[in-house]
Amino acid sequence: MVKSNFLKPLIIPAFVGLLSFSSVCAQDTGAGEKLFTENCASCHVIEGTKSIGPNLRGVTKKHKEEWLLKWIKNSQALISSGDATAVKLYEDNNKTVMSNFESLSDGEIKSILTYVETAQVSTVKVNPENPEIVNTNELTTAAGNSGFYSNTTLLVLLALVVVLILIGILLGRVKGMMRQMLAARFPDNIELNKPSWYEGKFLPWFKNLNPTIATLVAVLLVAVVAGGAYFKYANTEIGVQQGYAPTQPIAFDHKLHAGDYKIDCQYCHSTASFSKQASVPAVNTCMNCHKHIDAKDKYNGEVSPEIQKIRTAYEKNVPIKWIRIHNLPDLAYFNHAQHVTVGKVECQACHGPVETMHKVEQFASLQMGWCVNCHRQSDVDVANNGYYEELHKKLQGMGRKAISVEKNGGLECGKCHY
Amino acid sequence: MENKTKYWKGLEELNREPGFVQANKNEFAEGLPLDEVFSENNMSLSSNRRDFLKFFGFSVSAVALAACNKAPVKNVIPYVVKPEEVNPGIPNWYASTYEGLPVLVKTREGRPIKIEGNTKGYAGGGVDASGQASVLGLYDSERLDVPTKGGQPSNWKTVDGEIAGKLASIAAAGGAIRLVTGTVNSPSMLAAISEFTAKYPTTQHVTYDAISYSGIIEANKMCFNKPVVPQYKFDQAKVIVSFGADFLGNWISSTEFTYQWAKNRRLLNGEKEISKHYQFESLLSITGSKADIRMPHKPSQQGGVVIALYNQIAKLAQRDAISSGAVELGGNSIANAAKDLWANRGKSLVVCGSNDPNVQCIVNGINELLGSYGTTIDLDNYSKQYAGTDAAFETFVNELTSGTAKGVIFCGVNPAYTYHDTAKIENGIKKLELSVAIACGVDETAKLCTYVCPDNHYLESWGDNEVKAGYYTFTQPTIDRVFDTRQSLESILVWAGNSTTAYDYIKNNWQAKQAAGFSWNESIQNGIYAAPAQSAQAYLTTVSMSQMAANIAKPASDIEFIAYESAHMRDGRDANNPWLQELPDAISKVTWDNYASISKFNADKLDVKEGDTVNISVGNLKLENVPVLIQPGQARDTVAIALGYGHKTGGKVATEAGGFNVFPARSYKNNFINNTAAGVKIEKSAKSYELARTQTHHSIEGRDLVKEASLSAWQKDPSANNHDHHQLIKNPKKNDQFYTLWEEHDNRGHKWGMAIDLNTCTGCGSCIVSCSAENNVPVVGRDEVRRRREMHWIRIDRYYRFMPQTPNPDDQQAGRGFTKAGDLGIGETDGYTDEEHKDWFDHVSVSHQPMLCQHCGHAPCETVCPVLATTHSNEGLNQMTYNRCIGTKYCANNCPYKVRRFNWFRYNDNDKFDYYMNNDLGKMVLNPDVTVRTRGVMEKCSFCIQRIQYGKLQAKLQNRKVMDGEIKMACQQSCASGAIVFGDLKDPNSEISRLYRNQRAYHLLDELNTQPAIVYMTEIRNNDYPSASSQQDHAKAGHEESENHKH
Repeated sequence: MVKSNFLKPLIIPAFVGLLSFSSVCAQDTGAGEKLFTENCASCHVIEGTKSIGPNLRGVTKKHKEEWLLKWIKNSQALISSGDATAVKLYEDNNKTVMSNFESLSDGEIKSILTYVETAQVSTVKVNPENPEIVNTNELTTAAGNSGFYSNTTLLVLLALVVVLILIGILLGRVKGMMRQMLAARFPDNIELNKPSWYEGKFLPWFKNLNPTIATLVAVLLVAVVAGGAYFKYANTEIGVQQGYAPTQPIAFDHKLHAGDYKIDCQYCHSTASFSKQASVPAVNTCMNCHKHIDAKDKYNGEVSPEIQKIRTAYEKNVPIKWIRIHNLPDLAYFNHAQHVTVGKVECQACHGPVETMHKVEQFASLQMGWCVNCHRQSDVDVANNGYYEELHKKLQGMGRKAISVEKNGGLECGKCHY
Repeated sequence: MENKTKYWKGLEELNREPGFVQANKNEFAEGLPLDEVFSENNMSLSSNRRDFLKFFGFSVSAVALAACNKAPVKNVIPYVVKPEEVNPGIPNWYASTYEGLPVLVKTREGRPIKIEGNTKGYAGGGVDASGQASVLGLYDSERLDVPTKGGQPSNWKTVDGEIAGKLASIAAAGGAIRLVTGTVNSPSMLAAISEFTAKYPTTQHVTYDAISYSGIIEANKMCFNKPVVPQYKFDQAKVIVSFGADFLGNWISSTEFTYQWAKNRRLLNGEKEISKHYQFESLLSITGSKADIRMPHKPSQQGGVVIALYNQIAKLAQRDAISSGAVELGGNSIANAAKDLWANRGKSLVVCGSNDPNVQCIVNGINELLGSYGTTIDLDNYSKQYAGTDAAFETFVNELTSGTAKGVIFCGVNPAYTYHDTAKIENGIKKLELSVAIACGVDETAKLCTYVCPDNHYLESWGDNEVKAGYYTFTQPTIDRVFDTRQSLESILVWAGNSTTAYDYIKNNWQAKQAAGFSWNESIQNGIYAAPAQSAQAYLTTVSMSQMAANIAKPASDIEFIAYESAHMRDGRDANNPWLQELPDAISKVTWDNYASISKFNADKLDVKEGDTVNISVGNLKLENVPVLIQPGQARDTVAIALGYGHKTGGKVATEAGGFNVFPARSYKNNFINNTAAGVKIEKSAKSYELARTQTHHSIEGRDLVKEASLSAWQKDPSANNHDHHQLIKNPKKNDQFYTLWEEHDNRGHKWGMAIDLNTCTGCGSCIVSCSAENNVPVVGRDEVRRRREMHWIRIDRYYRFMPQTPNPDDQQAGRGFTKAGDLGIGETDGYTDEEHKDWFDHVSVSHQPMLCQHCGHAPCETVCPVLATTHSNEGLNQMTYNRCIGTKYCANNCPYKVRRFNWFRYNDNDKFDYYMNNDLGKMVLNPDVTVRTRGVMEKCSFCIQRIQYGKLQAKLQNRKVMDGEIKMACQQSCASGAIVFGDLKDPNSEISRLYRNQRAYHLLDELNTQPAIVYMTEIRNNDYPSASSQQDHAKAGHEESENHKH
């Protein structure tokens, strides 16, 4: 079949091209979202349960843009300048200091604001009979779940596009053949015998092309497109599991414990302050409370089945096989104590608003770029740690107050890879 | 040129053999092993176009398949009830004891992963290579997991019932029961044994040390009525004379002795003197390699040489000399030794490795004349490390062969391998009514016994040891039992009808003792309890030295055989430990093999060269096709083979190492085992064999790396032989004179540096094993070592230098103490067979140089990496990023120190490398803080960056600066002689900064302007004639020097 032979070589590049095109588009629209996730999401949500800072829906209507720019870059300066709005906001939020984002450009902040205004937010409903979480909106979430890339959606879209293109090409061919047949029947009709764009312009131009250069350009194009696509694909294959939210053996609800009951993260993840690992609590830690708490009132006088699982594990001395969500590859060394105690980084900065999550999911990409970005933007707290005494003196001598983690060697390979 | 002395690593380098020259031209020993790499994946290079398509199709479908996979679900399983002291990610340290040596055990998440020295212990925090490697023994998948009966798996209940029943019936019938153990110095074990004996009264406890010190024990019994091994104090000795005692290698308590010896060899803390050390020996031992004056002699001459020294001392002490039997050695060495010893009476020590009590008596006589008893030798707080006598075991063997013994329990001993006449043991065991072996694995003896009761590894056991009279060390378990094993103490107790656990038994035992100042918890925590020491007394002997001398055998005239104990294979008990098999011998640098070590003289006579093999017959023992190793410094007409090889059973690694068992070459005569034999026949055989030998891998092309000076030269000039090389350290500005491609690094917080003292490095190799354990360095096996692909991050280069024992007057005047012969080296010695130079190969001086990544400030490797996988940190570290490395190997090619190692294979989960990384149990030893490298990446010493990071984090968490000496490298921690110092050069008061300012410090190849972070301290040898220490005027001269050279 002549037709299918003609079509075959077109299909793969077209497919690949579309794939990369879609990812490029996604990145463009996602710039604000990306910045939001990296910088704001540890303390703010757009809608829903309040995180550390206030919810951001409608923030551009509440405040002017210039004021917002000043506030975001250095809120403390604005407060100390006596700005009434700023002081009120500060006091309304229990005088929680907002981090400074002087590293963000005006454009970047604006893109965040745009995102905040336009973003659709998933609304989370809890089915009262079954405390499984029902996510009503798969496509977009403020918490950085890249739902757009949901595999099925993407595949369906792609298939659709491919089919459309194929139909387009087929129709084009049909039209051409009809024309030819018409021209054969009416050889005198000038309109019909006028060469088409394909025959009159494209073919002569195509035939005059230098074959070597043309081939090279074509190969290059295909390579770039295919490479881009492969990169995107490989990225997901090397364990980038952002949004990973497996069902745990016990439906432990972080929102209930950390959010509603405000149990400190480190009550359970007790080694985070001094050890490499934050550690998942042992069953006896759970039993400290669940010896007494059984939620009988919610289960018609029966012990909650999930709590019963803990009690059974404890009684039978069988450890619980939790599913690990945050997996760093063996080649990367990460130490919680360094970040939690020395760097004073909030848990939410990396793990997201866990206190709002019924079912915990991987909030950050945990990719190196994500790590490095934070190391670029954060300052070392040289003033309050005896370890940095010399460095602090040296910086003071230079008239500087702070040094970024990056400038202090925080981007060196050997900090994390050995 | 300041230093014309030439150093060489081996004969092939010395003689510029074509093979060696060719091999060193290439970056790697051979072409790329594509075949092997592909065969690892069941692919083959000899593929045709169709195969290519298959591979192509496979790859595509593999990618497609992989695309369908989700990342594997990983579990995190916390405790049910978390022990309070165990926190994931935080190591716990427990004090324990390895063979009487106090150690600390590092555990992570309940797994012991590293052994380190206990700085509170008598060896100052050092551990030997065997101790370092012992943790791997815990995870040996071939350990016996259940008790067996007749080779079949059984259970404790059955086995205990049957053993106890048989013991009872034998005892009731009056049949002899024998309990054979190694030296037991555990008070609790001794108590258990007496309970056992009380229950079965026909029992006798037989102490059997495969390599015994019965000569010393017997001699002390004869001379002083004290049948013990004394405690030697090398740190109190200014002059040490050793007759074949390898006290830095494995003699009695070598880790402790190394620690003591190094105290007087350092010259870094304002000392002006070092001890003077004479070594008279047949082989070139580790101790001999560090000696100031070393003279080789045949083993049968040893008695004569000792007599000669006695006579010289007696002359000075105006006592009667021994009339006959003295053997004089060249170079006036014995007279010089006597002079030095006599000048330092009370501060001198003579030791002897002989197992002949007659020789040891004369040595005792010398020590008595020198006033060593009570000063450098302590017979009151004596050593309890070895108590076995050859005669006692011989009596037992007779009982065994005659059938008198009815029931025997072998506990931790392997006489079916280590006894010289194994047939006697084999037949004897067959006659027994009851034969029991308490062992960790199925060794030769356990295989013969009816019942085999698996013993715990020491890291799973409770224990106490009295290593010296009144000095106790404690063992506590650091992991629950891996298999269904039971520690020997409990087994003995159970059979004695006592079901107390080891913990309760030991604790009750100690609490019953009511020792002064003893606290159970404190002793377990520290691992040590020392009762107040008694004061050491002087001792006098009435034994007739002439009588002793008359008993000594006359020197033999033919070739003699020596079955020697190599530093880490010892009696073969650790033969199944791949870390130790892969550790190069300190002197010969051979791994995985034993070999016939012969002198150059005999090699020429036999017309053999390295790579050839010989057939040897010693008495009834015939050894065929033994690979030859030509050992410079070895006495002529001797042939030596190490003990501990040639296992028939005992594990994959032990049998893979193979080799020759030379225990049968030993003989029993006059109540002692003789490790040597005369009347050896040796002939060249037709076969050839390539030893897996690392000595000339990573050739430095004869560049000037070792610096040494004599003590007198150093006393006159603290920068002796180091003038040009000290410049850069003293004056870093001098760099401006060099054209440099590198930007200067801004070391903001720290600048890490290391100093290695060539004076105190003995080359023992403990640092290598320590490094492998800390950094997950894989074992590659014999074949890969042959291909120059060993992976050790730290190696110890051993250099020879000719040093004839006749001093050259010119040199002596110049204060060098060396002779011109030393100036000749590589490629210049074709004429060594000339009559004039014939003894050159008998007299070599040895230098050990640990070589690891130098962490150059201007690192040549960094500039050539196309992917920036090796970079510089602002703390002065040269970092290697495995996940970035694409394996071009440019860096290895560009490294002037040859310290980079390429992963030719994936060494974990690979059946071709079936060592510990190929099974789940073995992998438990891996350090979770260090990446396990994969195929195709380069690796090298990281300055234990995980330790640096850990140390820094602890400081930050405690809101303080890093303390000097707080961060210790794995190699440094393990070093008994303290030859390695690590620290922050940014801190001007740190130990490392002080050493950098020392005038002995030099960088390797600093003419390349690589600006290494490691300095070496020149080796200072006390080899002037006569001893510098006996010359009074030197002290004054030295004092003036120190004034001139103060900074």
